[in-house]
Amino acid sequence: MNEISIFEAQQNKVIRNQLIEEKIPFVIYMATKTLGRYIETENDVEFLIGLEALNDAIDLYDAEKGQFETFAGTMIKHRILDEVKKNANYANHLAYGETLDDVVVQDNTDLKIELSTFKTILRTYNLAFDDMVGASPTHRDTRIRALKASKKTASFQDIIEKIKQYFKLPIPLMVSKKIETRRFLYAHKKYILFSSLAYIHHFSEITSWIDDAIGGEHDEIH
Amino acid sequence: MKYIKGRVLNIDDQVAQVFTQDGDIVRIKRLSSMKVGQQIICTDRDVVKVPISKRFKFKQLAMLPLALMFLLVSMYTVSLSQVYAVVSLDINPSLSLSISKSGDVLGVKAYNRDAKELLDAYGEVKGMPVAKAVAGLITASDADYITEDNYKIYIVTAALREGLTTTVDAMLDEIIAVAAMDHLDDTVELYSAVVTSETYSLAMNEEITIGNYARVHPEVVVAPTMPVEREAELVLEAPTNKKQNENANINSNNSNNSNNGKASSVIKGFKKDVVLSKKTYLAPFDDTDQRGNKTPFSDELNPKTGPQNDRKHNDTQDPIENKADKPDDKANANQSEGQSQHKKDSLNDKQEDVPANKQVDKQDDKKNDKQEDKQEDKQEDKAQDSQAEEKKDNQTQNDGKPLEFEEKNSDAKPNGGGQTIKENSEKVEDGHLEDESNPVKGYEKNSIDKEYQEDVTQDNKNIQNDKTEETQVEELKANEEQSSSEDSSQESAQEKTFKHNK
Repeated sequence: MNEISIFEAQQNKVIRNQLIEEKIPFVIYMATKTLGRYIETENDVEFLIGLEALNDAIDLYDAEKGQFETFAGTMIKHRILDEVKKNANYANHLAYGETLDDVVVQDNTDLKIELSTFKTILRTYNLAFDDMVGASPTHRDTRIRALKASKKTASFQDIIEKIKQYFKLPIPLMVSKKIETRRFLYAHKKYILFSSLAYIHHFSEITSWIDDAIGGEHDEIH
Repeated sequence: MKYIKGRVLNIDDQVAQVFTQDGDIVRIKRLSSMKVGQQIICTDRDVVKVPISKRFKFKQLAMLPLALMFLLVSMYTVSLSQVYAVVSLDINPSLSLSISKSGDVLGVKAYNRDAKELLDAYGEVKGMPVAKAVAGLITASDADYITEDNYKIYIVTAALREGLTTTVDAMLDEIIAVAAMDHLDDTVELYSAVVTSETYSLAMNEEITIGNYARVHPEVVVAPTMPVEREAELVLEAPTNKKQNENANINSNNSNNSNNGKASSVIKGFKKDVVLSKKTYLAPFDDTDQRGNKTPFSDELNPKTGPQNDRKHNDTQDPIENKADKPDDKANANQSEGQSQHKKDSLNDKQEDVPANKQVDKQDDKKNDKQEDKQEDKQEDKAQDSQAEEKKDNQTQNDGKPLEFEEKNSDAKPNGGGQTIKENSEKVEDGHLEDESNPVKGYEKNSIDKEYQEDVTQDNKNIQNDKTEETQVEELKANEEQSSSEDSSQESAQEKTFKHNK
């Protein structure tokens, strides 16, 4: 964004909000870089402090201070560090009303067990999580379409048996069941098999993610 | 830039796989405090597109030839930078050149202030061939450092390790040849020697060049293995001054190595390379240098006396071919002349091979040769005279002009044909044929003058006798004719009187 828009954002709130929304990935990046870890949710304190620092940077920005991102990045970094220093004394303390069980629940032990089991099953099918990085469809609609096909595949028992028997998708049978076209199934067979196994083996956490992906909202900003 | 919200599926060593909210599976950088199943928000800057394992394999494959190339290049550079030999140049500036495997100069070390000044004036010598560098340094030092008192140049080499492309002796010869050909004048004397690597370490300990060390300690000098032809040039005892040095040089050139004891030992172990002046090389017609010595290679370089002389030798062995090749050269017309010319050339060659002082020593031998040649020529001339007389007698019987034929034939006889006495005498007068340098021809001329004059006088006497006989016969004939004419006149008178009476 050029300097004129920033000066406009200083005067106009609508433009300011647009500028802040555009700069959210930048705030996340600076927060991640400053903290040395990924921000977990949009409600993280550090992320909110970063957004607040960005808002202040828009107000305080002057043309003599160089580029806006450099100026804003420095402000975000210093604000987050100040917050980290403030909370450093209370990092090992439980909050009021918080118990030790709550902390254990936050470790997501069930999810870990599911993922490790799922990893083992994928290995029997000669698959791995890292292989799925390249196997996942590039386009989002294609991915949703493939996830829907995998969910539909898990609903047919004979197909599940074939998968467990042959460790691969029974594409002719799936075509006969009119799950998807032959071409689509052959093109994305790895990704469909990956997601189908999650449904076949009833990994509730993973299937919930897939359901969220199919029907849920996405926060990706292009 | 966009941000991605998802859950961590798996964590590897350097990356983590995240299942995003829109169903994609991405690979991101692993950071501290990441947990499986953790919901995270990251940006696309954190996404790793190439898998670490494959990238590592690619790196390995790419690094293998790179590592090999690095090894080869490092080995090559190390071998290039290693010093394989050392050449020291001592005039007054003393410096040492470190030589690479290929014979190029790796570095120069100056051992005194003059050497530093010389190197500053000359410029960079690194990377140059050693012969060119040494020759250039000698030339650069010629103006300031080579004087009448300081005219000796010492070039000493030492091989420090094996693997030099050429031998140290060959390198030394090349240095001397290049220096002598292009950069030395006749006021410079060049000494060379070869020492061992131990000598180099000893010289380094004393912080002097190996040349100066070898001069102080002549026992360290290793006699270079040189061809047999050059062994005659080896001077183990050099004179103290220039004149004695010249004598030593002359004596060293003698094949019989007859030392007259004039030389005194000063530079033991050094090989004194013959001082080859630039003038003698570039002006091959001048056989002598400024000191009056015959240069040993001048005959080869001189187009008149050198290779053509040899060709003359070959030509005179076959006089017919010589005559065909050189019709104008009357001296080489027949075999006897060719033999005499061959003797003259051989004598000239001998004279040219040795210096001028040596010619004086060989004058006695020349005189003996002259006398022998004269005797041989006399015998040959006598035999030819007898043959000529026989021919002359035959021709006097056939022709009516014996005197003219005898003169021509007698002119052709002494030189064996083609060259007359007059021509010979003219050449002698013009200086083309000197009596000392060509005693054979001088002898031929004298014998012709004396003996053939006698022969001619005898012939004239015989002719006069013949003439007297002929005149008597003619007188008789004339008398008879007169008598007959008188008779005829008397008859005609009687007829006239008879007619008149009638």
